[in-house]
Amino acid sequence: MGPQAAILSIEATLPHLRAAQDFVRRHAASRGVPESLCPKIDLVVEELFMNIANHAHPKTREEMEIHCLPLEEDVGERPQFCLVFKDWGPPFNPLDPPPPSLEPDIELRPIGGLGIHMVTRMTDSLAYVREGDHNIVTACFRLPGRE
Amino acid sequence: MEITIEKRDAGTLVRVGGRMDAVAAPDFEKECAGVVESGEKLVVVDLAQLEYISSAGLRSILATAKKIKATGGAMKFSGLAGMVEEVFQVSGLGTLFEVAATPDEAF
Repeated sequence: MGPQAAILSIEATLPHLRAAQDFVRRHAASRGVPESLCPKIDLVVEELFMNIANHAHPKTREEMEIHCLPLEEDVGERPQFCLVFKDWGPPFNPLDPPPPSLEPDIELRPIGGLGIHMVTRMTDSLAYVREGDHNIVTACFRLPGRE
Repeated sequence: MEITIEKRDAGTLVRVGGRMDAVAAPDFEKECAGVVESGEKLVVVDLAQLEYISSAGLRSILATAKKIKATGGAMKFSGLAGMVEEVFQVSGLGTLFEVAATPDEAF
């Protein structure tokens, strides 16, 4: 039987952010995800975690879940590592908001809106689905090619 | 996150190391606010020892930059590398600021 998904159930509040990142980092390493990909994965975990911390209110269930899936080996040329974020807040599709302003004048540049923009740029695929009373965001990273 | 502040003749050098995430970013903003309130017109932020930055870190940087600009001052950066440099590029922040290789070049 293949490896199972590792699941962390955790309160989506700022004091738990680093525990969520540690969990993903540990499981990424145990699945053979190279160290070079870790800063990107760390960033995506933070942005999606904080997105839930900031927007998923009120919740029908207090804790959110992060699933580290087993590596998918049979999707094209390179394996991919996928993370699933589940929260029980109101429907919220992080892919919906318009892209942030990249306005070149500091005074006109709005503060914020950059998190999801970076997530879309740092992942190889990003998907949202509403299932019953929860939101599911799946973020995948292709592993660098093996020489 | 480690922050060291060094007053120089031409301005103030703020060196930031470690992780500038949602937990640590408010500390950066607070430290820089102190520098701006002291009347400093040139702040150089050296990120050579920074390993990680998220959008929370970028927001603190933008908020600080707006404060400095409002007083007629300027904020510059040095030492961008690796993931931090990539985040600056992806977010477009790299084009908002003057970026030098070293603090000495920035002053």
